[in-house]
Amino acid sequence: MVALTCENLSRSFWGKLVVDGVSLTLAPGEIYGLVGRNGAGKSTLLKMLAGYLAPSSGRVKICGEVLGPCQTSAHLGCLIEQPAVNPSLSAFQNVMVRALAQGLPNAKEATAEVVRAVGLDPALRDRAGRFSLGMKQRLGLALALVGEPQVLLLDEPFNGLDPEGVCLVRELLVNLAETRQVAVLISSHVLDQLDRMATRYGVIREGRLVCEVTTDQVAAECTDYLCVETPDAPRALAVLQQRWPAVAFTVMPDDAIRVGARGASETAPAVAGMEAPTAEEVGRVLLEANVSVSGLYTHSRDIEEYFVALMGGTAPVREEGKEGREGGGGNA
Amino acid sequence: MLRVLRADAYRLLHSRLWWILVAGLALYAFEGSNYFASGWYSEGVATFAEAARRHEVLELAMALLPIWFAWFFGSDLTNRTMRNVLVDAKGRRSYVLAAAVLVFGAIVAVMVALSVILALNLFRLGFTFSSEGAATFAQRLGALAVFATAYALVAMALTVIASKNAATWGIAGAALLTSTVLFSFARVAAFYLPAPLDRIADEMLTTYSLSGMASTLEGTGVVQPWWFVQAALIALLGVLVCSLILRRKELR
Repeated sequence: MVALTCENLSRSFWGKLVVDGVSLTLAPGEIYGLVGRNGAGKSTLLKMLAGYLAPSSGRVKICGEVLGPCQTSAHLGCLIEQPAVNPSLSAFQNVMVRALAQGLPNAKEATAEVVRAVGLDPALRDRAGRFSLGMKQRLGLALALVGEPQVLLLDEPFNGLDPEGVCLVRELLVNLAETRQVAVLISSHVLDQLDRMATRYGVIREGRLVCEVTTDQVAAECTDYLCVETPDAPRALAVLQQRWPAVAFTVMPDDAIRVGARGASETAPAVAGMEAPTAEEVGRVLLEANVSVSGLYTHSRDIEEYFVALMGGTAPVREEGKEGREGGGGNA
Repeated sequence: MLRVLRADAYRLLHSRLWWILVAGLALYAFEGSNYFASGWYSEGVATFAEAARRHEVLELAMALLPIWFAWFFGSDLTNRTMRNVLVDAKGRRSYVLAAAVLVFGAIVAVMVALSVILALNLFRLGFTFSSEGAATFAQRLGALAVFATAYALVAMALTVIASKNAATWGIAGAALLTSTVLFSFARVAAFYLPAPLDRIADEMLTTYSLSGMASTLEGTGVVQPWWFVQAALIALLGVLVCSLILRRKELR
């Protein structure tokens, strides 16, 4: 059974479309990283999935149960935007309230278990109003985890956590996905953490889910490649293609030549069964052909750079007067 | 609904502020009865119902408890903690119904406890009352509890309507309602209406509004049976408004 499905989910505020026809599916045990720039519509999408906000159109299904607008499911655990913490109650009491509302038969044991799992047991009896941001975040996670939900919706779960907390939460989520087949949807800007746990990514841009990629695709896109800078790019390209006909060479917009890696939009491997040449080999061949080389280096493309490109580059987050949908490419 | 009620009752009973409020009311019932016994207030008092009416601890509870509950449920929106008790598809409706039951139950419980404190202390101070006024007292306590519940649910509707600072709106609304400021203001405004509308409006306000009924009860001590229906309808209206707005309200 599919853990979470949403079909053509849209939401507009005052006539402005904030989430535009998003459809996505999460299988049990999948960790789905939702990435996008500030204001892209991630939190709005999560709120609609959680039943905190009514969609303008579209449908949400959790573990086979179709949810009406502003309806939530017993299978859902959520941490969206800020942890929902009652400052006058202790950590234990906060979680206990949710456990009682869920009608758990062993509410006290279930509460103690999740509070321990998020590392809050030393502050079990302390009032939540005195908690630091990180401790509140842990409490928010405990609230999301109590009752063994089948689907977790987490918005910036690493926010405010110390390195130990980040590690603990990451391992906890991976463990839940692997052992209990919990489907986890995480919206986060902390890409290196997502990289360590996500099995699939969705990129949301101006309210639209513009692409979905697997971790294998991301890994392939983020491999290192050799880059040659030369004032005579066409000639250098001809020389290199003649010497290594089976290797892909791509002239970049700045006239640098990219060696042995796929182009920005390609998805198939560029070099089938053939090793890309080393920097020494490329340099030697170009020198022998009297092509001057101004730069020869290995370019590392990290996951951040990759997703920044997918999210729409580094242009201003909201351009004045731009209602544009032109950047979206539709759901992949 | 019962699960949400249990969760709400749990957090009410674990709230320090709640116990401070109840302790304050209990202290007033106790100390006030000492004062009552020593002064002219107690002259000619033959029934407990009359003693309780003159003591006014239940009226004080009727004024303060709605303010408390307006804060209690308003802060659920302010702190986003309403999310924690919405656990299934019927969550929002269950939340409102559980709130109404909790408010009424807690108000009755507190009023009964205050009455017991008052009765025990008056007995300790040498007052004995016949059982004649028991039914009158029970009616009076019931009417005040229903009025307080109606005030609390109207104030809760205000918290749900408010887009921001729900708790503040709830407290302000409940305070204006229970302090009869709004009632007095409306009566003054009615005075400026052209005749015969001024008289009709004033009569409507004093007869049918919660404050009007509470004021009559305070003055005469006589409970009209239809007041229960009237206050219950106002409480029901509060529940309906809460349910309708919460049905589609964004939980920020």
